[in-house]
Amino acid sequence: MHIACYKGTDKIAGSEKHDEDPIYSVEYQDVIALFNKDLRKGLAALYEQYGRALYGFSVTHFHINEEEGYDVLYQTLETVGKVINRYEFTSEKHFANWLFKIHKNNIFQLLRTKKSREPGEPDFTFGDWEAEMKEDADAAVSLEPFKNLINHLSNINPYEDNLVQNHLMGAMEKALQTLPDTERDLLLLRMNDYSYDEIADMLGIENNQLKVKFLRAKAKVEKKTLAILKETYNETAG
Amino acid sequence: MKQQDNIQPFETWMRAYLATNSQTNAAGIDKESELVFSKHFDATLPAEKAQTLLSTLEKHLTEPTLGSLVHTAMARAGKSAAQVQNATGLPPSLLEDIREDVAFPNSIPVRSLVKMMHLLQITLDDALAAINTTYERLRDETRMMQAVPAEIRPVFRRNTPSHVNDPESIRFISDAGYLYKNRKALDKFTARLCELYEEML
Repeated sequence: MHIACYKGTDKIAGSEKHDEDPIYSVEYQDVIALFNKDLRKGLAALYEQYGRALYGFSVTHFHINEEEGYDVLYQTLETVGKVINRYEFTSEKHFANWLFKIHKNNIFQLLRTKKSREPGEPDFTFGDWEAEMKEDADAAVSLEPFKNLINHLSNINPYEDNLVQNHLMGAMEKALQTLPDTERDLLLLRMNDYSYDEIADMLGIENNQLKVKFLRAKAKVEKKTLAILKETYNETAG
Repeated sequence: MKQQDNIQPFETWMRAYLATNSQTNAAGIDKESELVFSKHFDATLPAEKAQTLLSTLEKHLTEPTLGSLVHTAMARAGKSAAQVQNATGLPPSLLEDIREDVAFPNSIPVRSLVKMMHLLQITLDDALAAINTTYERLRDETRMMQAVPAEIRPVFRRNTPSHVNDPESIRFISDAGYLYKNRKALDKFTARLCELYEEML
């Protein structure tokens, strides 16, 4: 994997080429070795090799601002910096996956904290729900049977940890499990704001009407989620 | 009425689901990380902020842990592990755990720790700061291990003491409530440490 030398005070030691040719190959083992020799250089290498992409990913896909992106990246690099010398990895991919997972967890932690505190979550009308369902042209699903439920749930903050939110998340989990793997992956990756081309690449499929497939999968999960929730609340009322 | 035209109601729920159910299978992470690390993003941190990030990290990561403090103090005092064990009553494996920062500080017998501090001339302030650093590192490490799927968890490096490489001995805690109790327990521990430090002078 090639990275650009970080110009300025954080040039990475150990490379045969410095100022003239800034591009050279650094493996994850070199990053770890640098941490042992020189913490600052190790951090610089970690940032260059992985941190830039992690920052770009969090800001682009999760629509967080520069300050939030900074905080999340800091948290990730801090966690990694604290433990990087204690662990072994089987491959570059192993290291990258581990690092990426830590970062994603930190992004979600930020979102949970931020959104659970935000007042005035979007106040959706029943019409908004119907409009969303109608995006799937094939969906002959009427949401009328769920109108009371939707109105009841419309003011909840889905990020706030409480009984209603737990029911919602549980219902959604069950609904997602009814989808075939590829449809579920398509849905969840699209919710992570990957493009259809990127999703096709990741899933090893053709980008053939993926948007239509996404809308159908979403409609299926929505209908199933609402059905499970309605059953839950009917059982509770009964 | 919804505040932003591009937000849809069920998608809002789905995004919340993703944020609250962050466990993903390893195969999914594999493809995502491959794409993200090979992609060019327009959004980048300004160079100055990147420097600030690195400087702040460097400062934080060089704060002494209890292990590094004990290492340094033993070298300065010219004391071997055996001498420290004899003077403090600490078993060899626990002393090793302390030096490797794999023991939560409040799992160390407090009297033995005070004896070690006096033997190695470690000040109370330095010890308290280092204890806190070690606690926070282990807390974060525990959370990290719990949040990462087993298939992509790393293993301790080979030259870690053999008993430390046994997951059972790492003292990783599965119950998040225990972490909270551990902070309370740590505060009680450090309060007792302060008392004993003065008493045993």
